[in-house]
Amino acid sequence: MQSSEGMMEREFVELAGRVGALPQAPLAMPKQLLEAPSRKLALAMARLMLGSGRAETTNGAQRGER
Amino acid sequence: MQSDGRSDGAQNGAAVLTARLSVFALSIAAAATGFMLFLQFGQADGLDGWDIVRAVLIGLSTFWLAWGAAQGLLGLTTRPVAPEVPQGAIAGRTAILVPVYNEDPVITFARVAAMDQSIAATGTDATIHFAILSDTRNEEIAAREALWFLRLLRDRDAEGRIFYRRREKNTGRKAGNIEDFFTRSGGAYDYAVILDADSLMEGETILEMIRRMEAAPDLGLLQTLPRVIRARSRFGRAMQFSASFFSPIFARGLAMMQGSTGPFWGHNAIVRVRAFAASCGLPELKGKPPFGGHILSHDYVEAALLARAGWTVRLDDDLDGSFEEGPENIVDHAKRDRRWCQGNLQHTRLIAAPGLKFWSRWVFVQGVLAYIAPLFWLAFILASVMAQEFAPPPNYFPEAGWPFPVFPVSESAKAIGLAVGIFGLLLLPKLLIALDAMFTGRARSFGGGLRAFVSTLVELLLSSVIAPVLLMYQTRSVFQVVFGRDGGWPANNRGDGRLSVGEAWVASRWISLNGLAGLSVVYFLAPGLVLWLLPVGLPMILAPLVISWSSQDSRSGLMTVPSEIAPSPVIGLHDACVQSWLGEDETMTEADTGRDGAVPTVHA
Repeated sequence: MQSSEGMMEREFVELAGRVGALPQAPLAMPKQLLEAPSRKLALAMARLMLGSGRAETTNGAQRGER
Repeated sequence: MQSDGRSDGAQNGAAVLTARLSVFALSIAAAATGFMLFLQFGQADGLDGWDIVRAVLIGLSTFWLAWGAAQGLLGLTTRPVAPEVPQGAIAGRTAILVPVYNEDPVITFARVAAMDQSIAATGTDATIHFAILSDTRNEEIAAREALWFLRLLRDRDAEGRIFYRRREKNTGRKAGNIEDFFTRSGGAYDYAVILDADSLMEGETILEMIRRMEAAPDLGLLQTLPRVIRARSRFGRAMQFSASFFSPIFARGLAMMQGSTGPFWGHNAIVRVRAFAASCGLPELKGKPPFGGHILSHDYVEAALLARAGWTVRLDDDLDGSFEEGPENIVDHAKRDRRWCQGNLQHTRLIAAPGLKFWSRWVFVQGVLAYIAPLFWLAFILASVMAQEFAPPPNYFPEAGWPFPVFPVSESAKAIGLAVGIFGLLLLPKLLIALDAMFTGRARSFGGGLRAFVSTLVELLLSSVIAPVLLMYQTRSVFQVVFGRDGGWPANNRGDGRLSVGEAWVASRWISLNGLAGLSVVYFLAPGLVLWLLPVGLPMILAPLVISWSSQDSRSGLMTVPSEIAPSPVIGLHDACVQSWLGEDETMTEADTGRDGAVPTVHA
């Protein structure tokens, strides 16, 4: 009884998968850059902290360029 | 207003800037006033470090309260206006996405049936498909999904219009589920309406959203303001009333401030597929959860990314016919809030992301503040207790040789003024919204002016009692996230929601014990503060009773909402479908599944 119920369930799942199949029309979804800090923000913060115009050489600025 | 439905950019820009500056200025002024008043109050017995700490905390808390209040007041100054859009034939193809995750398929798929019926009733010939995107992990529920999907197809004669697929792995959770659809099938559609499993929308509303997308080629995402429906418990009905009565006004204020950098709340919204696909591929953040890994509160980030790419993101708060369901008790609310808390705090890593608009960054900051601002109050209470404990004894003879005592000047009036001001920020917007509703006739759809006003007072009272309990849950969530504990992705409990005192005790005994311990410590260290802290301490101690009582059915006749007085047709369609389906059991005969591709019958 258990196995026949299990079989029926599998049939429903397969049938649902067949009749419910989505249209195939792929679309690219490129991963966005989120973690690298904004170049402007990084520069502004670095300038604020270092108090000089040499902030372009900081790691934050380099990360912003990547 | 332009002919395609967009607001005029230049005019909109000036109006938006004015709105933002007004609300910022008001909030800063309130914060500065709170800070100064507290400093003057503290100076009465000599200014010390604790006074400065408390003044800063009061300033920050007041800013946050004033920000919310000012948004509400701003919302009272205008009314939502529907953009003019051509009402002709719809050319674009639309997919309505229904992500499900261990939900009850009968209730969820009946919503699809109801919305499909509602769309059909409009007589449109637009191409509108449904895609049920299952991330269900429970095999038993997945089998029921397959069964009820077949029933849905048969009932709606919808083969080739309503689709169903289940992912093997739920990578990226809901955002990953949606992304999976876009990458496999997105090319077949121009627009996608993104829903939650508990979302329900009128067919006419969906058509209007599509028309607005067609009329504004720069519109990447259009968000509606969903109203909570079907609440039954005291807590649920208070939330439902609040979402229907107050939220539209606050949303109006928000809409005025955000301009083209609007919000995405993850559901009951429509997106332009090519804009979303090109701009919203979410990376996995470096490191482990809670701060690393998949982005939890993906919706805020997607809105920011669309805006970054130059698309308009708009909240159209004039649109009716958009519904969702809410938690029925405080514990379910806290579970959902735990997830949101982790998601919002994760955004701290994204505030400096490259190229984001200023407003998007500020939205992230607001999301973080929403969870850490209550901690300012907690810190203020703790600092006040410590200040009393470590306060030096008053010096009545500050000048050597002067024979007469000098008594400190009482600044109690300033403290009382400050307290009144803070309560005013909490109460005033809601009271003004109630008065506005009474005078404009809006209250009629909430059962009349008197009922709406009394409901407002009861809602204020109830939210004051519940606030300390929620504060504790929020505080725990923040500490859990900060100390690296991942909250996971529990399924929403959309069931009955009634909790016994025993169940509530299990979920909240730690709050009771903290409340009891806190008040005892205050009694010994700073007995003068006990009375002031009772409104916070008592609800904490009684948390199990508060939780259980508020989860029971409401029979007061208050908190009436428009969907109860004049239910939207799609709600009735959903009710009828659920009733019809629940009247049947879930057995099928082999004969029904015999023919390949045939849709079987579920027998009563």
